[in-house]
Amino acid sequence: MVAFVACCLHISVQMCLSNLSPNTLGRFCILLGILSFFGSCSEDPEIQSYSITPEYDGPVIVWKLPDHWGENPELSGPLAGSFHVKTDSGPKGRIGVMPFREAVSSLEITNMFGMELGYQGFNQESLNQVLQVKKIEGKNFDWIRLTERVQSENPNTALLAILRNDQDTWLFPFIADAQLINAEMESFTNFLGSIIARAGKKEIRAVVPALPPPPVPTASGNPTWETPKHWLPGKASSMRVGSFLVQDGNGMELDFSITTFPGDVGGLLPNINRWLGQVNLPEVNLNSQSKYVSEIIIDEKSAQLLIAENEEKSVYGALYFGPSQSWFFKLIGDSELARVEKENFLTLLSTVCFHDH
Amino acid sequence: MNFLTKFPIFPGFLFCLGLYVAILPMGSTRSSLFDFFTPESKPETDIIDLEGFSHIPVLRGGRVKPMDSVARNTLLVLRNKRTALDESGTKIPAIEWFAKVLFNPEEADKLKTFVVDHDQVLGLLNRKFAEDGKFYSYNDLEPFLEQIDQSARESGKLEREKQDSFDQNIIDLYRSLILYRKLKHTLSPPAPPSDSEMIADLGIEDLFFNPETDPDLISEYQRFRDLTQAISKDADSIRMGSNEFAKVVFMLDHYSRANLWSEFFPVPPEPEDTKKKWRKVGESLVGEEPLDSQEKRNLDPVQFSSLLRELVLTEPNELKKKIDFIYETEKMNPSALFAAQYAEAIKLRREVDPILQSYEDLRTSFLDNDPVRFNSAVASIRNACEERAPDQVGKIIFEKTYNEYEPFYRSSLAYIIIFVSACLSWLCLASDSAKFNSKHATSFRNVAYQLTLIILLAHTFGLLGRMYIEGRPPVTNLYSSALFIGWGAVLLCWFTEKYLRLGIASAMGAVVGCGSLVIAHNLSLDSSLNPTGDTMEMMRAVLDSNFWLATHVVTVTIGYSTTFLAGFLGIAYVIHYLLFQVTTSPNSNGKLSSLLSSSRKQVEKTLGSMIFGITCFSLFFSLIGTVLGGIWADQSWGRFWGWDAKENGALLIVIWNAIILHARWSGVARIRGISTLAIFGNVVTSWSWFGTNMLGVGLHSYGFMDKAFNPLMSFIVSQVVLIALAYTVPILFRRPSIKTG
Amino acid sequence: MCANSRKNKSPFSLGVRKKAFPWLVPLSSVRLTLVLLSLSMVLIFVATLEQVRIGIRGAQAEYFESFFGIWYYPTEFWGGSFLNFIPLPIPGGYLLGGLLILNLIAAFITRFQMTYKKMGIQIIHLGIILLLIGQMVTQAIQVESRMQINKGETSNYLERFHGVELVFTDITDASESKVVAIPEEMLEVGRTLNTPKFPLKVRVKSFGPNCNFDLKESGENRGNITAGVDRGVGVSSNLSITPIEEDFSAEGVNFSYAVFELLDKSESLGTWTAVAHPAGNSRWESIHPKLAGLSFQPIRYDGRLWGMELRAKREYLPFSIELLGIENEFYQGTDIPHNFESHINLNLESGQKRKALVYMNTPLRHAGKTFYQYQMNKAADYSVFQVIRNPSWLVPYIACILVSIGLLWQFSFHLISFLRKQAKAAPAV
Repeated sequence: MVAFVACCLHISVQMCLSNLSPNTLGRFCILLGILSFFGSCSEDPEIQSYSITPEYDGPVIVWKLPDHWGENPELSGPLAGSFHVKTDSGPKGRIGVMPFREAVSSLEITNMFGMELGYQGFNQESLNQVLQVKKIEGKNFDWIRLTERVQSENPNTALLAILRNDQDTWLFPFIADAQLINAEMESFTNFLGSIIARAGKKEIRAVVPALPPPPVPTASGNPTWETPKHWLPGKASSMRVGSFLVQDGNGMELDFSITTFPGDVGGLLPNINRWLGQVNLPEVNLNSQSKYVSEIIIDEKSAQLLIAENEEKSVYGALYFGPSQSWFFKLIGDSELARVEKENFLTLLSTVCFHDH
Repeated sequence: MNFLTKFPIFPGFLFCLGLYVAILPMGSTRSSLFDFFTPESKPETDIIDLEGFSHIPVLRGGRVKPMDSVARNTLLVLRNKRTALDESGTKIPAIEWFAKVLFNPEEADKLKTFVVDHDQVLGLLNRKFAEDGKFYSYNDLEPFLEQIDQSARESGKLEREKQDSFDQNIIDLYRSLILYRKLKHTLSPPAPPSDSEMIADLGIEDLFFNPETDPDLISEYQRFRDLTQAISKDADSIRMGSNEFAKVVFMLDHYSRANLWSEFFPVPPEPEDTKKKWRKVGESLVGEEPLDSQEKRNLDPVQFSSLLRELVLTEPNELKKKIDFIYETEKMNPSALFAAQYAEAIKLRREVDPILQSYEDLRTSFLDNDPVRFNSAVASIRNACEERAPDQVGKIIFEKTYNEYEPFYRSSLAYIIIFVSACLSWLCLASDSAKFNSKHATSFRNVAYQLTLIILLAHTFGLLGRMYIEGRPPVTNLYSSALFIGWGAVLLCWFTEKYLRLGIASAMGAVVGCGSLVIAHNLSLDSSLNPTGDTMEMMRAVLDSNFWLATHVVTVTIGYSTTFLAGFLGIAYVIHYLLFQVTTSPNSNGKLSSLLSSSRKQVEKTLGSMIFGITCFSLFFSLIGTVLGGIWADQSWGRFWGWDAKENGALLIVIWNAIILHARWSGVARIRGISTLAIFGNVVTSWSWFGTNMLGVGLHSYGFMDKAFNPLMSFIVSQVVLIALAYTVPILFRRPSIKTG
Repeated sequence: MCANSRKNKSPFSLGVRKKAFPWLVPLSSVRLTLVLLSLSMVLIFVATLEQVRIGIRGAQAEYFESFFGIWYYPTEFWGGSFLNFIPLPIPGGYLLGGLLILNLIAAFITRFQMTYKKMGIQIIHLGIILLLIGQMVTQAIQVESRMQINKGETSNYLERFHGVELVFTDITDASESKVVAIPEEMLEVGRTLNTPKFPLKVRVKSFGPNCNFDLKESGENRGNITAGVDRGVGVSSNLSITPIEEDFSAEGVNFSYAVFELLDKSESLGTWTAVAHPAGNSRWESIHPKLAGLSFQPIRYDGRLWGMELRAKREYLPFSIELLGIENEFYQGTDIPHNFESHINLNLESGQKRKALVYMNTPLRHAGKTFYQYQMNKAADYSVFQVIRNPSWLVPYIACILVSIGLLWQFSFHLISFLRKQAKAAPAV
């Protein structure tokens, strides 16, 4: 390396001294300039505009806002647009734009709002009494006006305009007091007239807010139950019908399993003795089993509850011996955490349903 | 040197020694060149035929190879040697060790299988290198398994660059232990945990192998098959909570787990398998797991069991299509994927593969020392492989013989003989007796020259053998590039020596040849470059192009090899020059100095033209090779040049060679300058050969090679020292009275 | 290669050429060549080392695509703590490459003799000039992009590997969308941009090539960069942004961000945040559902609906590619990939469909672009092509052929004369 650098230096000095004159140096610089042009040439950035075939596959909805309406900055939940009316006393009223994925009946929508306003619930017949069809700018709107069922001069009112477009449903609710709604009727109509709505291929932000479906009995006749939210799915195995893992932040763990076996698997005593062994407690016999075992009702059936707490590990279990199958519910692990989760365990047992009646 | 005159036979003896080393069996390399041409001998009936056993084809590392290769390669990983030691530390053939590991684990655990040569790792095992040596058996290590496991885990958490030598050694040892355990369980699945609560719950103890009542594991497999057949007839029992189903699931999980503990694929493709997949024992029983077993946690039990029931109810032909469809469309759904695998295991895999029976026969007869049964089992396995994979087993016998011939080991020994022979020729020149010296010098030189040709043939045969086995051009990875660089340098040296019979080319060829083979051997030991111990690994997709491997890689490698050769000739010149400078100083030996000054002119002229000529070659090859690499890159990635580290390394060699040539043409450097420049070429080449890999960036980084860092640095320092000496010594020893011009 | 003393009467003889361009003579010196070559070795060596620190792309920008680079001796090396502070100027690729080209051209004019014996040398050097020019042109005009397609879907645009654009898309009409794209080079802080194609003005408040982002609790302080944001996802997710250095390494992921205000004449409509996900804005949803909107922030103006996003620069093609299927095979029992393969349909402008296979070492070349198999995800069923437009791709091939011919020519001359000499001297051995 040293030799190499020395050699280079030597050559370059010699070259400079012997050959270069001021004139050549000048021309040399020009060449260098040309060269630097080479290096610096690249495209000038500019704003581009072009047309493409549409890629956006969400729903499209466009409107023109009346001048004295303002937009609510934060859109929440199912809303695609949300506005208010600017008045001297500040913003008033709420106008919304809600898209629905599928054809939703006006009945469902009316009931959604009707509940809040104190209606008992509509059926098709009673709905027909309040429903009009209004034509604005060539579009047909289902037009429903609901007024709060209280004695008031100026009751809260919901004006629902529903537009159907192929498979989509667009809802434009105007919620305000009756006076404001009357005053703004023309603006609202103009607003609806300016609407361009087009269905998207997929993904629409709103769906009908609905209750979670009730637990459905599964095909294989397994029981159902409700677990606390903080219980995580646990190790799966073919024996386990349900399996959960409970952890706290300090490294303590509980394992909850629901298992089933044909027949009675030796009956109560051998099974609880096996479990007691797992938490290092001595075995019990028929006379002493009451120390840990008591009776419990699970899904209207008589079952056995085992509460066995030891210093380090504890086990809580429920054993139900059915006519052809035995069901074991078992929570085992660190005692400290187990005591915390005891309540949850018992609650869970109360939600068990075997779906056999 | 007087004894030489009395024993004129000595050159002849060296020649015969070289010939012997190159061709005939010696020590543990038991094959000779002639074995390639003789058919396999018939096994004797009264001893266990390990020779035949070593010819059984299996699949490991993506390639079908003889059992013998698996044995040697795994030993290379475990023990850094291709042979094994028995309890007392005596060498035994790899295949004998392997048979014990597979069939008689208790015996195998006593053999000294593991190399542990790091002081601190030995300290962990409570051993001393000086007293206990470096080879240990599994039984020696067993008490420390937990500590090894723990330390390796700790070390594994560190980033690769931050690991010290202890970390790397403990990780290597940990990997060796895993590999060894996998080997032990490849043919017989690990026994289920004996204290499992689940086994008791299910009452399936009777299903498992019972040494007292069962002849072999096949009985267990058969019971499992009965179970699956029963359940496939009674599909209604496939539901959560059914005891029968739970049993099947347990056994299926058990065999699937066994697949993880299996190192190679012993079962040749099943006749109806269109994909021609080799299988592990577990896979032969229950098929391949579609996902990592851990994904079973994410199973939806209800969906799984209902889908499985539906699948089991389908007709077998329909089922096959359905399973393929699930594998294609439900890639993210573990429930469906596992249901498909289980359905295959239950409904489609109806029989126990007869080859498993043969392997079990091997095991039991090996334990009973029953040669008749053992040899017939070997024959039936080999027949089955030939029937079921006729196009994959053709090279097995050749590879086995090739393994035993060890061409590169032989060649590296023989290169030393050549070097000795060339050195003797120079010593003869310097000897007193004027009449004999030139004659002897000539005969030693001729021996070196002729031996070079013969060894070159052995070396070439080694390369050709690899090419035949792999079906690839000679250079496929770093290991084979070392083999090839040595070969190319020796070939050029032989040509040079043909025209300039001075012994210098022979000697330098021997140095480069032997050196590159030693480097190659060390590369084969590097666990990060060669994790399976097989130097004939598969090529990754982007490199999988024989055309480019044959053109770009080979040309570039020739470029490396010629640059090295020019560098070593430069070293030869500098050494000669230094000797001359030192000996012509006042207090020197008159004889040597007069000899050196008489030969100086000729040496200067010939070495100068050799270095020049070879540098021309290396410029040619490295330039063409680099440009070809650019074209390959253009074909594969769409850019001719990407400034990747390895590309830059090759470019450095090209530029350096161009510098040497231009320096000479323009008269900037004369013979000494050219020589030192050529020596610096060694530094440049070693950098681009190994140094670029150490950076760990870019497309060509085959593996981070920190072990090579110190050798590389010492090599570079030695070259720089030589260059420095070439310029400083003449100043130190300059004497006014002697004219050196 | 010294100047030939023979007098030659031809107007192209060496003497005439030398006289015509006396000032080129010093430029053509071999010593200059030697110096330049030696300096290129230093450059290449240093740039290779620097790849560890700043990645291949960083080293390329700093050293090869520049006139000078400044290098600091790495601290990790021996004595690094003492030598690190010295800034060492390293001549850059454009400087050395350019000078080498000049040097070679000058040598052609004033030094090379046009004889058969030296013909090889001239051809070699011609090839090398071509190679150098070709490489410099390539680095200036080659465009590298990627195209990602999910299985069963069709794509008709390329995305650049580096560089983003702020895009406004008018999606009001069902038949076509209008796109207005502002490249990142124009997103200078404080600049107000307008174009007749877009009714609003865009005022850039902040822009950076990479950032860390964080979803703050509502009410929590968002930090300086996004403090003024009052519309869009930046508000609903309460997004906080911390600028960081661009990551040049090969695996580097850069989240470019922009904070901008939209103005109707002079009235502000609000300030938005936009962040570009390096793997495409559709990935935001998987990072956090609240960020899903970063792929489309709506603004309605004058009866039109515009979507806004910051995304990798795109180029739309007149044709499209449909991914029919992918294959990704490994050698059995190893992690070594054996094959990556995409089965595609090329939908041409004419409406014609053409099936094609793209796999390792076998790209698809169409309409001046080349599609290489780049990445693949078997589980998620998508394939990524690297797409390159390089009009000068043929140059290295020609150069390579020239150099090979030249080298063969020259070395055959040498070898033959060497062998002849040896044949004469042989009997002596």
